[in-house]
Amino acid sequence: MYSTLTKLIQMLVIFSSLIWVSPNSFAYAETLTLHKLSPELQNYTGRWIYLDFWASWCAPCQASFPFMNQLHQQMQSKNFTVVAVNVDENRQDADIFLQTTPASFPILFDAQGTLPSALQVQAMPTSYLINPEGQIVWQHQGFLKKDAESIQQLIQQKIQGN
Amino acid sequence: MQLTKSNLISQLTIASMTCLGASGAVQAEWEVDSAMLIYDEQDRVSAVEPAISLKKTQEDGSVIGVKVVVDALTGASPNGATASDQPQTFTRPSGKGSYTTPAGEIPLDDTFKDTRAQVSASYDAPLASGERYNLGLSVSSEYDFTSLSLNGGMTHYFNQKNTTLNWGVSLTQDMIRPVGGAPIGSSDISLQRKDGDEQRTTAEARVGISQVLDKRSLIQASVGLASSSGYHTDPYKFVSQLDDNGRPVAYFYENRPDNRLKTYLHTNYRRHLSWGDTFDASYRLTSDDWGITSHTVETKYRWNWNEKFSLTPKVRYYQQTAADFYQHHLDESPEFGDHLSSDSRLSELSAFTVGAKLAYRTESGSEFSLRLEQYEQSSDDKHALLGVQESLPQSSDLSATIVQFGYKFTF
Amino acid sequence: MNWKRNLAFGALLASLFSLNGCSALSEIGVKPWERGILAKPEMQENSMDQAFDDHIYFSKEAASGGSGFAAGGCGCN
Repeated sequence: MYSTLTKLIQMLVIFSSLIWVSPNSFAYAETLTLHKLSPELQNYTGRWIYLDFWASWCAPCQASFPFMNQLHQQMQSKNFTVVAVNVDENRQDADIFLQTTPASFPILFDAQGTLPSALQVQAMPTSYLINPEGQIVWQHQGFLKKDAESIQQLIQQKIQGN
Repeated sequence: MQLTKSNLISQLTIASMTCLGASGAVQAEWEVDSAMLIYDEQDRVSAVEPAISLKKTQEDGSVIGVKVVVDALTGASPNGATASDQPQTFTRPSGKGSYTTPAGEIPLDDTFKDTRAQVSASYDAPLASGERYNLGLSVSSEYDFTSLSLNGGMTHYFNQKNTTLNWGVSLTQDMIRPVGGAPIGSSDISLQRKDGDEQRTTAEARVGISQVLDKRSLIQASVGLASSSGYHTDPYKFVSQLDDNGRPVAYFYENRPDNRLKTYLHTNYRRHLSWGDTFDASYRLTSDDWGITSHTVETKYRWNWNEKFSLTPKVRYYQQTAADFYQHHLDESPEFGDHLSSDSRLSELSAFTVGAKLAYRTESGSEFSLRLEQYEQSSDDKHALLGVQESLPQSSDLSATIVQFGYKFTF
Repeated sequence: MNWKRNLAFGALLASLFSLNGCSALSEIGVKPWERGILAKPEMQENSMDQAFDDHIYFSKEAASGGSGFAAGGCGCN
């Protein structure tokens, strides 16, 4: 029994040391100007953009759609738009998704992953807030329904504070 | 990374979706996995086992799960004694009544009737740091056995979630109430020396790592350690003592050690092939301080006919060495240490499972499935044959059919 | 107790851990938006089948343990 206990303790020590030495892989994408990113995004130059990256296979992405619909509709009049970039490799998967999960905001399709590569997207979904000057002022990884309200408040603060 | 206008234009297309007012709230759904297992051994044990598991992802990202399994068992099971050229009569474990095994047959105890119910609950939630922790509780009860288990663990992500590290610990308490009391180990069964209830405690720790190799494949490995102390003996199993002619002269209750330390290593490789099928291979090595080492190899190939139908053939091979204290039978002048068992499950054996699973996925994402497998276990035990034993069946080989119906849906 | 065997397990355990910190390993894998195939249900563990198998083999064989951990998946946040 004693040797078993020793072994269990050893294992726990190894686990916990691993947790501490784990590299923090989170890195903010450098602020890019809108012009460098995509000509399509230039259509929204001069506006605030909530730029979201999503895929049909990503459940939290699906959970974020009602939030983005609401955000887009409520803030549309305030020089603001949601733009959601789909990164599915098969366009068909995205189309099926959109049939059951409708979007009231513009959607870009980027099967090659050009935009998420450029922005070094670290997680799915990831969303960026881009100011009218084309600079990223805020970003958020993942989506939990419980955070919807605080995200919206934060966006409003950023826009008003500008 | 340099971006030029031209490649962006070619790679990006734009579509403006304007579905007015359709906010289509994604409701938190319950994922239900229900199944019915029918396990049938030729001339022996049969079991019917319905199970239902419910899972829900909540707004804060936590996942709650509940699972209920009921298990109804009937039939006969080997009692550990050898076959004889004469009928053998055994008192039932309760002490009331007896059963007789005809000459030339391996003795089976036909009092085996049992219903087990198991309820488990789990909770898995994210931490602010992005890691996840999980907690679980499980209670299982049958007429002579109650088990309570608690577990907890964590999942850590590295390298953009391409590397996942899991670890967990669990503690299980078993209460064993053998029918007629727990026999005194290694005692002559005719003396009917019995004690009361027994207990067993098991502590387990495991750690696993999984690594995404590319868009289509991943590999994982885990190691675990389980240490149990308390009552490990099967109270309904005997060991025959044979005379020089191979005829039984007495039977002893089996007697297993009070402690067991088990370790395992499990590895798994899974790949989604370019034509849509999936291949899965795994290997497990286990070893314990009773002297049992085992190897298990399993492969599955999921053949995707189309979007709806798939067929998954499977092959499993298992092989184990015997426990140090395993003895097929005792001689007239028995020499055994503190521990003794002739339970075939502790003998050298190998087993093959062959089967397939047919699945049908509906457009709404529900899935119906049917699994059919055949399990063949054969003894690799080598022991000297005394007198009449030469012409008698020696091993309790096992042949079982596994049928499983499944239905998965969300509501 | 068979220390040789346990030592072998220990060595395997250690090698698993060292893999984690290895820089070569951190280059293996996919980008977060490339997990469409890994997120497919057939790339996940079927826990119902696994639990039934564990129960059957636990009651017919001496070895137990080792069911897979969750792996792959969408890697979504």
